[in-house]
Amino acid sequence: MRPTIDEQLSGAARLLRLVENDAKTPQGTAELVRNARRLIERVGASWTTAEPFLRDDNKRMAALLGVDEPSPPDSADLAAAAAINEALRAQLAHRIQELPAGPCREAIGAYLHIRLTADPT
Amino acid sequence: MSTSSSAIDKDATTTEASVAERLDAFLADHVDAGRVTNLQRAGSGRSRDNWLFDLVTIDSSGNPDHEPLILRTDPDGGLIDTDRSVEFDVLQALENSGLPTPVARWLDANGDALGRPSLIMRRLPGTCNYRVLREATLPLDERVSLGRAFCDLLAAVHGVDWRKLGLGATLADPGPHAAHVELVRWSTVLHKDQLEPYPELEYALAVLGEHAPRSIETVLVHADFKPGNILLDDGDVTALLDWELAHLGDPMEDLAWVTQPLRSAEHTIEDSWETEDLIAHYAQVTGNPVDRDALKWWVAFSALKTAVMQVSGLRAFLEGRAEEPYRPTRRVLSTLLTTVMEDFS
Repeated sequence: MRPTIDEQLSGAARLLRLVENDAKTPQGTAELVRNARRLIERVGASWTTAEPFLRDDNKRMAALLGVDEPSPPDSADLAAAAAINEALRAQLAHRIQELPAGPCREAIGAYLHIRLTADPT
Repeated sequence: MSTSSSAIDKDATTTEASVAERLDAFLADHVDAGRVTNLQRAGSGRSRDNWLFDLVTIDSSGNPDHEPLILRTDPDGGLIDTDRSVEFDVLQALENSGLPTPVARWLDANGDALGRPSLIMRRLPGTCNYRVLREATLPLDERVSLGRAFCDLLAAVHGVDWRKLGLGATLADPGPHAAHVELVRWSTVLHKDQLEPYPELEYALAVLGEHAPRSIETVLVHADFKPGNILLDDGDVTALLDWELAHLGDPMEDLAWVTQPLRSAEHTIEDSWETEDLIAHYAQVTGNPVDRDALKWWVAFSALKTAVMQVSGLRAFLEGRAEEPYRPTRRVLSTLLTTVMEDFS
């Protein structure tokens, strides 16, 4: 399939960069275009890896919480994986509020720190 | 405007015309025979909602008098909700403080006349430069002097006799519980604005809540002290701006805001004006030793506050109220978790 999704995203970013770098573009407009271009580049860099990350993260979070992992979505169902992830993160936030200081809470902190570096979105 | 102008330019012109019309009507109620001239949007970006203009009146000798003013309007999608009337009261109270603050002239607290809550201040000479301390075109000794001058200014803010100036009538004194009060304030903002759960921030809130230091004194806190809020004219500080977050609290809050790792590029100069130099200079100028444990807590709090501002900014962007696509960034969240886990676990 040409153009591929990646090609369309990188093409859109390239066109926006042309406007952004055009000396005739007013500074306020260039600021808007830069913001739009950055959003597109971020999507381009993360859309293929977001779903596998979320599926893996859901497993880790369920284990950390000691709960059964909700039925995993069909592969490539990004919205379903994201919805499960959000529900588990809500449980985790609630657990943190209940836990006293100690190894259990520290384990959650360590997991959250690692998650930040792994999150492609 | 040229005939090839974009829809955005057209929109900006419409906004300018609308601002001019509203200003004329508003000032007619406050000034005899005043006229608005030279109206222009401050700065180049669309995110700014400040307008520069001159108010022309006729003095007692019959000569025209030009007063340079700035209209500061609440943006639709500001990072945080602040009360413009509180900022107005603070500025008025500070007029006799000796601090370089703009004179507050008029307030439209509810935005009935100017469209959105707004205040009008006298304009001062100078420009802001976020990265002035890292500006390679300036001689190093000048930049180090500026770094010291900024620190002196921060100490002067904390040295203000807020009771004598009557600020206690506008701002609540949290007493020794400033840290707890600020934590609750930003926790409330987070829970109001968040669109999804943030266990990272809940973790920080839990840990910081258990270690909140007691304040040993209550001072006026600027709460967003940075070169980007300081006007410089020919190397001299002419004004400290943006008092919208000002409150009474712990001086370590401001000192942490300027010494936090996330903002080191704004407040330090590598090998010449490091964080430790800043802290030592602050202690020398104020005559008070810096409580390092309390400062660590406030540094972690500064990262939390930054993250919450990003959460609020994300909501504003997704609701179409802001044009900057904010989000809690990996850098901010990672700095926050690292600080909280290393210093308080």
